[in-house]
Amino acid sequence: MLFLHELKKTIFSISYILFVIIAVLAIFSQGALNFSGDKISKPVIGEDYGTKNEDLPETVMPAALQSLYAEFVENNYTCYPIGSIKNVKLNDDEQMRIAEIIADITGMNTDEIYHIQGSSYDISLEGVSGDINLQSDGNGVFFILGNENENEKTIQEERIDFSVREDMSYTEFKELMQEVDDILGGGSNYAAESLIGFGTVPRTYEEADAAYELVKSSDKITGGYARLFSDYAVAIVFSFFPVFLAIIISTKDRYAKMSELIYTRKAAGIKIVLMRYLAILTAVMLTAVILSYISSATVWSMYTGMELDYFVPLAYDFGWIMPSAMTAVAVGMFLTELTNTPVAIAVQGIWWFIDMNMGMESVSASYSLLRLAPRHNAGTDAYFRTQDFIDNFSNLLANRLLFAGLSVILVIGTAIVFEAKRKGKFNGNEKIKRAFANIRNCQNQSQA
Amino acid sequence: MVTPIIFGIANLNQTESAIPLEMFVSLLGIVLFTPIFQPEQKSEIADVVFPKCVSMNVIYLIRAIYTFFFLIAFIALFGVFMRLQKSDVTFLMLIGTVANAVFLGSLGMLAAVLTDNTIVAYMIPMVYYMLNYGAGRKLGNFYLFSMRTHNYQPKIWLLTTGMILIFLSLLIERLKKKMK
Repeated sequence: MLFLHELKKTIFSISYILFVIIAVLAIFSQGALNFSGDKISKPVIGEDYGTKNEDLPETVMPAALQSLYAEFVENNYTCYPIGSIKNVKLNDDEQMRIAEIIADITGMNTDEIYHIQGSSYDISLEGVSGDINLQSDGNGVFFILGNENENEKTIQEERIDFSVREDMSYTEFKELMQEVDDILGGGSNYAAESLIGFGTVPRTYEEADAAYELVKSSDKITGGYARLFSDYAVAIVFSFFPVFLAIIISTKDRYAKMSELIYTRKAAGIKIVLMRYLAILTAVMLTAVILSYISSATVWSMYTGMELDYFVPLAYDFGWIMPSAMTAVAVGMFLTELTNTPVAIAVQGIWWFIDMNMGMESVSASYSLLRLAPRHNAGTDAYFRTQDFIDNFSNLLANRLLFAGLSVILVIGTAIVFEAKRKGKFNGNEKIKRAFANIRNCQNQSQA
Repeated sequence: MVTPIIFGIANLNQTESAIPLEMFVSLLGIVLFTPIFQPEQKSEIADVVFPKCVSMNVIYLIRAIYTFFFLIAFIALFGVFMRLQKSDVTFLMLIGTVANAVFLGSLGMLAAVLTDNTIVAYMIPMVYYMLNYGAGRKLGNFYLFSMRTHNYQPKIWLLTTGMILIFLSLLIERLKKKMK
C-alpha cells in the first residue's frame, strides 16, 4: 500500500512529467529513439568494410614512433587523462629522457635527436626555415624535412631516416612507450593498452562477414540496437537526472511540513525509505522500458523473416541502465536526508560530468569497474562491435553489481539517518546552521 | 572550480581553450543565477520579508546585478589564470563565456519563477546544456559551443536573450506578487 501510494505520488508529480520530457528529448536528440533506416546488412564482396584496430607490431611501432617524434619536436604532447584533452609540455630533463627513448628505439644518437627539437632544429638545419615536416616512405621509415624554401640539395643532405631498430622486440617497445606515458602523467596514446590505437588496418571481407554473423547469432540483431540505446540513455539521462526526482520527492514532506507527523507513524524507517526508493526507481525504469521498446520497435520491420529477440531491450534496461539509475536515486535520497539540502545535485552532477568526459578512448576504459555509465558506442557501421561486448561482459557485470551494491548501502544509510532524525538524535545540518547563527549572534551582541 | 582537474588548461590554442570555457565555466551561470529567488520560496520567510518597505523587486534586481558582476569577475580571473598557464585566451572568448553563463542562468531563473521550485529550476538549464551535445548545431544561434569554430555570432544572441529572460523572470515575479 505504502509503495502504491509513493508510486502514485511520484508519477503524478510535475517533476516526473518533466523527467519524462527530458528523457525523450535527450535520447531523441542523440538519434537513439528511432533507428529506422539504419539497417545492418550482409557484407558484399568488393565494398569498403571500414577499419579496425589491431595490435600488429609492424603497424603500431612505426606509427607510434612517428607520432611521438612529432610531439617531441614541438614539445607539445596531447593526453586525455580523464577523457578531455590536455596538452603537456615537458621540462629539459624529461625531454632528454624522451630523446633517449627515441634513440633507443631508432638506434640513433641521443644528442642528435635532442637537438632537433624546438628552436635548435632551425640551427641544425641550416638554410631551412619553416615548420618541420614528417614524411613517410610507406615502409615504416620516415624522415624529416624542412617545409619551405628548401632546395633539393638541402633535403638530401639533411634527410634523417627514422625507423624502428630491427632487433627491437615489441615487448621492449611497449615498455619504453609505457615509460613515455608515465613521464607524460598518464592518459597518452603511448600507454601500453592504448598503443593498439596506432594499429589501424582495413577490415577484410571475412572479418566483416564474421562480425555480421555474430550480430545475427549472438545479438539476434535487436541486441545491438538495444545496446546502442542503453549506451546513450544511461550516459545522458539515467545516470544523472533521476537524482532530481529523488531530491524533489524527498523534500516534499519537509516542504509540506509533514516530516514530524511521519516520524510518529508506526512504520519502520527502513520500510518508509525503501518503499519510497522503490517507487522512484519504478517510475524511472518505467520511462526506460517504454522508451527502449519504442526505440527497438523501429527496427523490427526492417528485419522481417529474421530471428529477432523481442525481450532483449528489457534485459538491457535492467542489466545496463538500472544500476546507474539506482545509484542516482540513492545518492539523491541519501544526501537529501543527511543534509536537508539539494547538495546531491552538485555531487551527482560532478560525478556524471567527469564520467561523461572520460569518453570512450578505449574499450577497456568504457567498461572499467568504476564507470558510472559504461559506454559502448557502436552502431551498424561497426557491426555493433559485438565481440567487444562479449569479451568485456564479465567487466560489465562486475561494474553493474558494484553500482547496485553501492545503491543498496546508500539506501540502508538513508534509513539509518531517517531513524536517527526520528528519534531526535540527528537533525541534518541544523547543528552547523546553529553554530553559524551563534557566531552571528555573538557579533551582534558585541556590536550592541 | 574542478575544471583544471578534469581538463588541462595549460598550453592550449584558441580552439582548445574554447572547450573548457564553453563546456565547464559556462555552468557557473546555472549555479549562480538559478537560486536568486530561493530564500523567499519558503513561505515563512516570504511572510516576514515581503511586507518590508523595500520592494522585493529591488532586492531581486540587486541580487541579479551583483551575481552578474561576480560572474564576470570569476570568468575574468579564470581567463587570467589560463593566460598565466600559456593558453591563448582572448577577451572576446571571455565575453562569449559570460554570454553562455548568463543564458543558462536566465533559463534557471525563469524556471524558478515559473515553478517556485529551485530544484526543478536546475533541471531546465542542465537539459538545455545537454541538448548541445546531441542536437548541437541544430540549435543555430543558440548553440552554446560555437567558439570552438571561432563563431562568435551566437554569443550576441545568447547574451541578449539571457538578459531579456532575466528581466522577464523579475517581471513575472512582480506580477505574481501583485496577483496574490
